[in-house]
Amino acid sequence: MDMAFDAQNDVSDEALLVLYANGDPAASRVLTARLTPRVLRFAARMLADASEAEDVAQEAMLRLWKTAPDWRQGEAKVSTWLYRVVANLCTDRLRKTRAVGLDTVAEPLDDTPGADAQMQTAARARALEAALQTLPERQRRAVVLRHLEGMQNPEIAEIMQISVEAVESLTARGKRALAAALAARRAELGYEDG
Amino acid sequence: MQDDELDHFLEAARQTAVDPSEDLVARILADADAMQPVAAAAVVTPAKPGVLGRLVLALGGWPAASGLVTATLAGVWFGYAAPSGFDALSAAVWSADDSYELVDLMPTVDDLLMEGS
Repeated sequence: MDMAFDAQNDVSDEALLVLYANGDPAASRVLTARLTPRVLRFAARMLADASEAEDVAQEAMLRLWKTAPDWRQGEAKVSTWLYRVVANLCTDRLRKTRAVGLDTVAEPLDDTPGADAQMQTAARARALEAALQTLPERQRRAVVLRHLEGMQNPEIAEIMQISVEAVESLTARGKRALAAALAARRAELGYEDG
Repeated sequence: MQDDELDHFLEAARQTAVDPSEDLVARILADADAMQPVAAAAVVTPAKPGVLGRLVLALGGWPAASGLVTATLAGVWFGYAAPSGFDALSAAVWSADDSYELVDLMPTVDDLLMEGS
């Protein structure tokens, strides 16, 4: 995607949101270019469904636009607020649509990566995404935010509205569960050594 | 599985993240445009002049007003400083035996007059 609109890199998300609320037509373009990839990634990893992830991303951004005129400056980071919205939307969808068969996630190990590094990377990524889906939702959320989105524990605690210690515990247990799930499939991937 | 092995998988997942489709971006921007508060129309239309503005306009605009202000200040200055030439005028207007002097009317001006003499 062309990110030409994101030229205003030094303008904070919050300032852009205020500009948007004041009628600036360019602000929403910059915010969309900046925030949508992150929102979509997070939703996709939580839901493992591209179409649903897009719907969640659109809904989360819609809520951002709606809240813009009432945004309280200095209280929370825009991205933190948005991640929290996405997390809640994903929870709702998981409760509604996944009541039947959590294990219906697409089987990712359908090819043999061999020596091709790119294919191996793709295979590893798919294996990890699949392993993620075996984690309890809260563990998955914490692991995705910490290890895939690269957030710090205090911010994750704010998003999940739990203590930092609870985040540490969730990510530690999540990583162990991920490692166990991946180890079980390692042979299928043809992945033997680091 | 060791931690560093798991890190390879995490790194692979980070590298293969999908970007938003153009369709999704278009939908989000359409929402943004639909939800955007209308820019304050008052920004475009000139503001109506306030009480002071209307008074100034009635007098002929700011150039005329500044002339008036200058004249007024000059008048106040003459009254306060009372140049010597005014004494004759004062004497003519107020007869010599008039019991009122300028100091009587404005006691605080006494010091200034003393300095001038």
